Amino acid sequence: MIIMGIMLIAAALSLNYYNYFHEKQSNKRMEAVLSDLKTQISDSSEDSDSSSPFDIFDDSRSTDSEIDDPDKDIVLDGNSYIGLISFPTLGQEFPVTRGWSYAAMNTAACQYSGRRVDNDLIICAHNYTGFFDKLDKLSSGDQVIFTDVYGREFNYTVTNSELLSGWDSPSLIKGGGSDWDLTLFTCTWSGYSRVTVRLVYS
Amino acid sequence: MKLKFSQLAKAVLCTAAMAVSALGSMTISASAADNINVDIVCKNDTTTVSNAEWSIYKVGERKEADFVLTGEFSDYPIDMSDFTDASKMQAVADTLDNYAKTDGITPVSTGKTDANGEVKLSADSVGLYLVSGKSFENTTAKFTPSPSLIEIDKDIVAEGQITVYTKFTYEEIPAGDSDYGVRKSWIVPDGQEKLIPDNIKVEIYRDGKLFDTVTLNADNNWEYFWKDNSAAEWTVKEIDIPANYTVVTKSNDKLFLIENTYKSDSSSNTDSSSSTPDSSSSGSDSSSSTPDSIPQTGSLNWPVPVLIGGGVILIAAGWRVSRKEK
Repeated sequence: MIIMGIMLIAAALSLNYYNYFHEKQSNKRMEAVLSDLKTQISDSSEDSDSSSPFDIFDDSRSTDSEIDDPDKDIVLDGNSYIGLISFPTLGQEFPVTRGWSYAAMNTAACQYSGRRVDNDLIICAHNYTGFFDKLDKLSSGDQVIFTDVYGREFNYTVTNSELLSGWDSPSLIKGGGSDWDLTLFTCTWSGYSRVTVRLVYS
Repeated sequence: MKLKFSQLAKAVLCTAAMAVSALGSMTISASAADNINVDIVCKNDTTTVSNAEWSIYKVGERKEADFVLTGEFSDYPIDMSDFTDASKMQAVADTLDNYAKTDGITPVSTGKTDANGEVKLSADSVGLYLVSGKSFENTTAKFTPSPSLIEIDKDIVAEGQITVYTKFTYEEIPAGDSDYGVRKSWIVPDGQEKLIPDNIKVEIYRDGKLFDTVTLNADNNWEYFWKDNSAAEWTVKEIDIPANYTVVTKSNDKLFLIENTYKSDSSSNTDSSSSTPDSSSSGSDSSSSTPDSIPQTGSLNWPVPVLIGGGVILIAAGWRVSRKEK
């Protein structure tokens, strides 16, 4: 029994080390992608000739095919990116892929559902160190910035946070475009629930 | 006697019929007169706004799958045909709000929020309603509400109540004058720029009173800017809107974009086929739908304490057994 106990503890330590190693690798990949993405977004915004203060209204025209055109995504290492998201109060920044997959989440935050132009965008990411590990530290009134591939910045304000069951997808999606304009989520440490942060466009 | 009895029977039947009819009409009238409580909530996790004035206007009714503007809103050139897009719906709400304030339309119900940031307004019929707030500022911050549209349908009438969680900003007042601006934007078919007039006039209203009338044209890039203190609530209104154009007015608290879209008699609506994409898409191993379960977005951590706990228990139990055997 002692040997079995030692083996269980060894298994726990192995799992813990594997998680640590995996998170570290994911962080490296994300930082590399983030750097490339910011460079490409910067180049894209320099090409743009729009400089009017009224440009903040340009995103509302859904007839503009450029607003959410997958052909305009920035492609890096096989993933398509729709922009990046920043948490100024936490000093964090993440690339955001179009759509989600478990593979993509090892490198970036992902568009889980919805669209920015429809004010129902949901972005998810792992709770790894350097990813959404501090998501629960966002407080009401904190600012979050989404930057699209054209370099346009869209400011959001945190309104509330909640814990949702990992099986409660309807509650996650409900309220998009009316109660909230942007939602961010990640797992709790146990993986049972989802830390969910709601934001409105400001 | 028989004659009297038949007359009496007829009288009773007539009276009964009248009573039923009256009861029916009373019932119908009661339904129409029953108020539907529209509970306005003006607060978020950090801010509760009291003394904020909110109003509701009945702007339209449902006609099959679409809405049509009614009453004092019926003549406004606003495209009501596509409410599938949240941003378009907001643009319509902004435009209707601008018109309601500029033209001084009387709301169905109005009131100010209490210390809990709540106020009860009331509607009395099914339809499409504009929920409109009035901006104000105090010594420290400016309150800028965002208008919204709600539909009161038969289900809500049966419930007798609907709660509206309003959107707003509550920001520190910048020192000194602020910059304001209005721009005119034209959406015409490709190559049909000749449909754009040479100029248009826009009235600028400050707290509901005419402040200025400006002319926008290509020479000034269809823009006009002005400075003023930020205590006032500003609205704009284009006058003499050209024929065959619908209007959308987009605004934040300082900038106004008046967007006119040309609608010829034979033209179809702009392509609305840019539907929302699948809620999850692309990449390998991606889910093709959003089932009830939400993706696992974390490391497998929970087994660690379970394994350690189990290991400690087994070691402790094994040690005790070995001690007993000795």
